[in-house]
Formats: sequence, structure tokens, C-alpha cells
Amino acid sequence: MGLLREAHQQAIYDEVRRTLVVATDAGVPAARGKPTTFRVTNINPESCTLIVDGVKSYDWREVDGNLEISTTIGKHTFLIRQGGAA
Amino acid sequence: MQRSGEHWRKIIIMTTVQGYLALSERSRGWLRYLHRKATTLDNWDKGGRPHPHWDNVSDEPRRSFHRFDLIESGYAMGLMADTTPAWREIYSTVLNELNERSTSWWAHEDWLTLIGDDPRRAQYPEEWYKAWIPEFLRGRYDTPGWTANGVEPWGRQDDAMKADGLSGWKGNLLTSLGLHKYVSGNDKWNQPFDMIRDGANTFTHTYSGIAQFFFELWSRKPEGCHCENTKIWPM
Repeated sequence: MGLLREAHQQAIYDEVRRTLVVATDAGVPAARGKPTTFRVTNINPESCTLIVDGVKSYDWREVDGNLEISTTIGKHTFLIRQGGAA
Repeated sequence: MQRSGEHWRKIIIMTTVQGYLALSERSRGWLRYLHRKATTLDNWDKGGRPHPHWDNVSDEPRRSFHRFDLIESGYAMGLMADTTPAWREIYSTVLNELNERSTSWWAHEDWLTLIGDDPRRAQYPEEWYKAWIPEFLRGRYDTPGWTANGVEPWGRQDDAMKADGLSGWKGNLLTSLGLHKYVSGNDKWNQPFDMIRDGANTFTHTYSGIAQFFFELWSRKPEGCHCENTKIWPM
């Protein structure tokens, strides 16, 4: 049985702003606040800027050409902007 | 305490990004439920038994079979994928699990066990006669939901995807297989896969093959196709 610890409320790429918009939900109570990661594929990590909850973040690394973001289970917003984005 | 507009604006910004679609709390609750339900191991082979959380009770006599729960569960996945197009893996997983079960023996339980005319046709509950059976056919007509595989002129056709009847299920299954492709981009269900999977009653199909047969079936029956044998759909 698979327990979905956390769901995305939002996950959409804005082509005009060249920004991936992600928002996570509170997650299941037993997992809330625990560290977690998620990966963004089809993106060039070196040209990205990460904004978490409105603040620039460096909690990411490149894994196999993908962007792996470290965070905690809970409500967060992520803006992954590609180079030169507004 | 009176809250200012700025206060609420900050809260909204903290939980979602304004200006973009978002899954509601209710939708996420439904997603969690469906994900747990679909990924709970059970056995839909002839010798197995679906987990009790799959509904085979509601809407008797027409839809009280497990496969109706499968097809009704899939629609939300397509809608949610449209809301979070950059996060679709979870919906693909659920739809794949639904499709694995939809191609099993238990998804065809009615077609493979309700053979010939219904021996109970003269003893149905009174409300079934009122709702589903013309008075002049009382006692001589199978209730909707009785699939009647084997009756003439079609005879026994256990491969449901090549049968004259069970057209509703062909359409339902194509929808579910197609939703998986729509959500995942994966062509898995258009590659040959086995259905029913019960020894000699194992039939190999593809999405396109089923759709082609369904098209031909409709083309040669302009009066309409039928789902349960003897019950035509005048569409």
C-alpha cells in the first residue's frame, strides 16, 4: 500500500515567465516537518534560480542532470526560474 | 478580530502562488484516498478476490460490479492532471493500477458468469420490473445488468473485446486506457497486453486494436450496439 505523504497543490510551468510554479500541501500529520526532496526534470539546473516561500534558496543540488530540491513536508511555495526570467 | 486584506493576501501567498490553478483540499483528499485504494495489493485473477474497498454493491442490478468502481475512479485523475500538469506521475500510477485491474478476470465477472438467460427473471424485486422491464415482457426478459453471454444469435463470446455485446465496457476501458496515455504520455497500453488471463481465456489486445474493432462493430450495426446481450442502445 502506498501512502501519499504529501501532494502538490500546484505544479505548472509558466512559459511566459519561464518559471515552474510548485506549491506543496501540509502533508499527512505523521510526516509533517520531516525532511524530503523532490526532483525537477527537463530543466538545466545551472541556469535556475530557486525561490522558496518568497526567499531565494540554495537548498538544491544537481543529480543526473536534474534539479533536486531539499525541503520539509509542509505547505511551501517554490518558484524555479530559468535564466533571464523576470 | 478584523483581518486586513493584506493579512489574507500574505496567507494565500504562503500556501499557493496566486494566478495559477490549484488542487483544492477536497481534491487532494480524494487523490490520497484513490492512491491508497489503487496501490493496495489484491488479486483480481479468477482464483483471487478484489479487496472489499472496491464497490460491487451500489446501483444493483445495472452497475453492481467491481469494474464500475474502476472506471468511475479514473476520471478525476485526468482532471487533476490538467490542474497540475507539471506533476502527473501520481495520476499515472493510479491509472495504471486501475488498468491492470480493468483487464483482469474480475473486471469481466458478469460477462463470464451471467451466462444465457437469467433464471431469476420471474422473481425479480418488484422495483426492478417497474424501473427496467416493460410489463408485457415481465418474466420473459433479463434485467439490465444481466449480460447474458452465450444467448443466440451471438453465442458464447468470452473475449469481451471481440464480442458483439458489452460495448459499454469497451468504451469504458478505452477511456481508462486513453486517460493513462493522456496523463503519462506513455504508450504502454497500446502495446500488446493480456486480458482476463485465465489459461485458455487469455486474450491479447492493444488500445488501437480494441478501438478499431469497436469502430467496425458500430459501422456494421447502424441500428445501434448493445452492451448486455438483447439490449440495444438506439444512439
